[in-house]
Amino acid sequence: MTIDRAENPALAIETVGLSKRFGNRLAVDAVNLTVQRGVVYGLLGHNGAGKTTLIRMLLGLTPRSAGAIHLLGLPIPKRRGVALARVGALVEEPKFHPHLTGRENLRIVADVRGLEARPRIGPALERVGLGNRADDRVKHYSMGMRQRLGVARALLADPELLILDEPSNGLDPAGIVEFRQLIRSFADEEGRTVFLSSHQLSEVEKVCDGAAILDRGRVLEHGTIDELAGARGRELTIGCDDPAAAMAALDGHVARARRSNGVLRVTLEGDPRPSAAAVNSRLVEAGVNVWHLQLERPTLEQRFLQITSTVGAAT
Amino acid sequence: MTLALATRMVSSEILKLRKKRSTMLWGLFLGGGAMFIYYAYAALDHASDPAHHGPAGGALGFARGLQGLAILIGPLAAAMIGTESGAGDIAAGVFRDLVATGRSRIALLLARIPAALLLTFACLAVGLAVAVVASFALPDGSATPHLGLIASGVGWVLLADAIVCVIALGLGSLAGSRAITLTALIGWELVLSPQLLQSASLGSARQVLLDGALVRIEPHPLPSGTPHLSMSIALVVGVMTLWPLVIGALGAWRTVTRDA
Repeated sequence: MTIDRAENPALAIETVGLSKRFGNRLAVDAVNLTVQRGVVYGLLGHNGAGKTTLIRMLLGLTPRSAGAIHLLGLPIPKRRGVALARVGALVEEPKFHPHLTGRENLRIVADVRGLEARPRIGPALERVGLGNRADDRVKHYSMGMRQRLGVARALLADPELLILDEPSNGLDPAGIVEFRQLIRSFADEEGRTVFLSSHQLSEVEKVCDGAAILDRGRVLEHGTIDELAGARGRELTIGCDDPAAAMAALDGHVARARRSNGVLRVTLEGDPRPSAAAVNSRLVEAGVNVWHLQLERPTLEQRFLQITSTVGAAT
Repeated sequence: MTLALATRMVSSEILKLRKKRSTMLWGLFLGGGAMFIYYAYAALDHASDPAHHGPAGGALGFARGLQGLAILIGPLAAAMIGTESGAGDIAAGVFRDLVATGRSRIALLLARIPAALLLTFACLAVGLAVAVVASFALPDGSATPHLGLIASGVGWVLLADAIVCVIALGLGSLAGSRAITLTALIGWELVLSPQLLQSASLGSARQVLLDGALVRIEPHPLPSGTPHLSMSIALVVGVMTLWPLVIGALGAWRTVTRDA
C-alpha cells in the first residue's frame, strides 16, 4: 500500500502505518515514526522487538506488508535508488568477504555505489581507526574491528542519513566511548542524521537526542530523551524545616509525597509542570526554610522497563 | 548506469573471485592441471604400448583434450567459478549490504556474469594451451590439428563452458548456497546427464540435454564417448540458449525477490 503525501525534505525518516507480517506473526505493527534531520535518534527495544525488521524495511531489504516509508523526503520503494544513494547503513552483525582485506571489502561496495565513492575509502578507514589494519584480511579482524569496518562501509555514501543497527555490539568499553563520540560527531560536526537501534538503554540515553521505544512491533512512546525519561512526572527531593507547611504550599502541584530520611520526596504534576526554581520560590514565599532541593529524573532505563513491563502485564 | 560504473562493478566481481584462492586453484587445476596430467598419462601409455594406445598428441589427441575440456573437466571448473560468483555474496552475508546501496539487484547480478566468464576462460586458456602444445609435441607421426580445428575447438570449449558457467551462476543465485549448487551441478554433470544421454530408451527426449547438443556441434567428432544425437542445428541452438536463459532467469527472479 502506498500513501500519497507531499514529500517532506525536512524529515530524514518518516513512516506511516508501517507493518510487517511473517505468516501469522506481526513483527512490526503500524509504526508511525518521524525523525528530523541532523539529530541522533534511537530506536529502543528488547531483542525481538522488531527493530531490525523495521530497519530492513527502511532499506528495502525486505518488503513491507503495509504502510508508507519516506527516506530523506523520498518515497520508498518508488525512489529507493536515489534515496539510498545518500544513506549509509550497518544492518545486524556486519558481514564481509573474509578472504579479502578491509580495504578490498570497501572497494567492492564503493564500486557498486558509484565512481565518486572509491576516494572515500581511505578517509573512511581513518575515520573509524582502521587505517593501519586496512590491508589485513577481514578473517583476522576482531568483532569490534568488523563493527568499525561496517561503519566505514556506511560512510562510503557520504551519507546524509546513517542507519546503524546495534552499532556498539562487540566493542570493548573504551571502544564504546570512542564510538559514542564518533556518532555524536556525525550529527554535531557534519550535520548528518543518525538513526540507531539498540537494546542498550544507557547508550541511547548518552548519545541520542530523541528515541522511540519499540515493543512487540509497536512504538509505545517517542520523543526527546528528556521527555521519555520524565514523561510520567518528576520527583523532587526537598530538605526543609517544615515539611507539613511545604506540602501545604505545594498543594495542587503534587501528585504524590512521602517523607524519608528527614527529607520530603514529592512527585510534581500540572501542565506545565512547575520547575525546581518555581517550587523553591513558592516554599520561600510560604516561609519554609529550604536547605536542599534536588530534581530526580528517572533514567531512561527505569522508564523503558516501566513502559515495556506495563505492556507485558496488559497483554 | 554508465559504462565506467559497470566496468568498476565487473572489476570488483573479478577481485572477489580471483582472491578466492581455493576456487581459483581448483579452477586452474581442473582447467589446466588436469589436461597436463591427461596428456602426460596418454604419452606414457603410448610409449609403453604403441600398438594399443595411439599418440597422445596429433589431431585426435587434440580432439580428446577438447572433449575433456568441454564436456567433462572444463564444466567442473566453470561450475565452481559460476557457483562462487552466483552464491558468494549471499553466503558471505554481504548481499544485503550491496542491496542497501540502492543499486538495482539485477545490475548486481549482471555484473557477475562477465567476471565469472573471464575467470573461467582464464582457467580454460591454460588447458587449451596444454592441449595445443601437446598435440604438436606428441603427434608421433599422426596428423597435427590444422588452424581451423584449433580455432573451432577453442570456440567450442569456451562456448560449452560459458554456458555451464552461466547456469552455475544462475543456480547459485537461485539456491543462495555454494554447497547445494555445486553438489547439484557435479551430480548432474558427472552422473545424471551422462546416464540420461546413454539411455537409448529415452529416444529423442535426450535432445533437450545440454551435453547432447554440445556433442552435436563438436568440431572433431570422436568415435567413442558421449553418444551423438541426431539434432537439427536450430534445436542445438535452442537447447544451448534455453538452459542458461531459463536457469539464469530463475536466478534473477530469486535475486530480486530474496529477503536481503
